[in-house]
Amino acid sequence: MEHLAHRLLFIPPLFLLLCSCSSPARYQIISEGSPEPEWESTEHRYVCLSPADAKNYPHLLALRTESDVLAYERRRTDGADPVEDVLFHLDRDDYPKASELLRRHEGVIPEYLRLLLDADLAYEEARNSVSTSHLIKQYQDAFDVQPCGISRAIIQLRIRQARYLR
Amino acid sequence: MKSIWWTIPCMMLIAGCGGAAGLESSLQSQHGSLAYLYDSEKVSVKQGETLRIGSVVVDDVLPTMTSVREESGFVLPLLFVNIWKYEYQSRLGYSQLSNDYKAFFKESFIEELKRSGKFNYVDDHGDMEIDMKVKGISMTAPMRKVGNVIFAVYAVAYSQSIWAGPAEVLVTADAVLKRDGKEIFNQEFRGIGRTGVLQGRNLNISDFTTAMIEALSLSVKNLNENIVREINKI
Repeated sequence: MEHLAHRLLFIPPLFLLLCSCSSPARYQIISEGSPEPEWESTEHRYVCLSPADAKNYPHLLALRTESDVLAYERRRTDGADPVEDVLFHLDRDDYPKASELLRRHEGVIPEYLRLLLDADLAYEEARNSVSTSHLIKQYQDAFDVQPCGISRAIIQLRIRQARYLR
Repeated sequence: MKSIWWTIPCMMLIAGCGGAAGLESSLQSQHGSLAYLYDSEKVSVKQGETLRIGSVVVDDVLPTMTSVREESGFVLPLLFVNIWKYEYQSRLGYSQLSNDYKAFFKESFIEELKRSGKFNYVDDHGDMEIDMKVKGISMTAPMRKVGNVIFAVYAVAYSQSIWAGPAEVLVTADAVLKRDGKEIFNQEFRGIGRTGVLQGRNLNISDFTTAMIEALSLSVKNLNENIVREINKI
C-alpha cells in the first residue's frame, strides 16, 4: 500500500512534465500555405519562409510544440546548414546562440530572414532597454522585403507585442 | 471583529473615492513613442511632377498632462453584499509621449508621401505644394471598475475588475494642395485609430497609456494615408 502511495506521488510531476513538453513552441516557422496563425496570441512569434525556403526546410515547419523541437534536436546534425541552424536555435528559445549564428552567417542568410530575425533578436535580448520606435524602424526595414503576404499581420503583431513590453 | 467593520468601508472608500486620482497617476507613470509601421503599397516609379510641403501647422491639440475624469459611479452598501461600479474617461497628455508629436505629424507625412505618393517628394521648389493644418484630436478612452465585498460575518470575499478601452482617436486636419499658386483641392481629412480592450485581474492599468499612444499613432497613419490617397487621384 505504501509502495503504491509512493508511486502515486510521481504522477503529478510526470503529468506536469508531459504538459510542458506538449506546450506550443514560442517561435512558429510557417509558410504561405500554413494553417491560419493565432494572431491574438501574445506568446507566439511567427516567421514566414519564402516558398523556396519552405521547400528546403519542411522539417522546421513541422515543429509546433516543445516536444517536437526536442525530438528534432535528437536527430539533427548541428551546423550542417546556416539557415536551419539559426532557425533551430530560435525555435528552442536560445536567442544568444541564434544571434551569434546570424552574425556569423550574415552573408548566406536571405535578406528577408536576416532583417526579420535581427529585429526579433534585438527584441528578445534587450526587452527592457530597446526603444519601441527603434524596434519599429527595424521591423520597417524587414517588412519591406518580406516574401509572404501574411507578413503584414506577423509584423503588426510583433510591434503590438513590443509596444506593451516592459 | 471590530477591524473587519472598519476594513469594509475603508476598502470601498479606496475603490470609490480614490479611483480617478489613482488611475491618473498609474497612467502618468507610463511613457511611449508615437510610431507606426508604414505598410501602404509602395509606389516605386514616380510620375514626373514634384511635390513639396509648404507648411505643417499643428495646433496645441493635446493637453500637457494625462487626465482621468469620473463619468459615473455608484456604491451599493448593503452591509453583507457591497457593490460598486465606476466609469471613467481618460485623455492622453503629451507628457506621456517620448517624442515631439508636432514633429511626428510632419515627419510621418513626409515618409508617407515618399512611400505611397505618386509624385516625387522634394524638400524645396516643387511643381506642387501641400499645406496641412492639424486642427483637433478627439479621444475616447473609457475605463470601468466593478467590484464587490461580500461580508459573511466570519469571512470576507473581495473582488474587483478593471476594463480599459477601446481607445479611439479621431484626428482632423485641413489640407490644401496647390499647383502654381492655384488650389487643386482644399478639404478636411480625418484619421481614425483604435486599439482593443484591456481587461483581466492582472491588468496593469499603465498599459492603457500605451494603448492610447498606439491609437494616436494609428490615427496619424490613417490621416496621412487618406491625404496621400487624395493626392494620388489627381
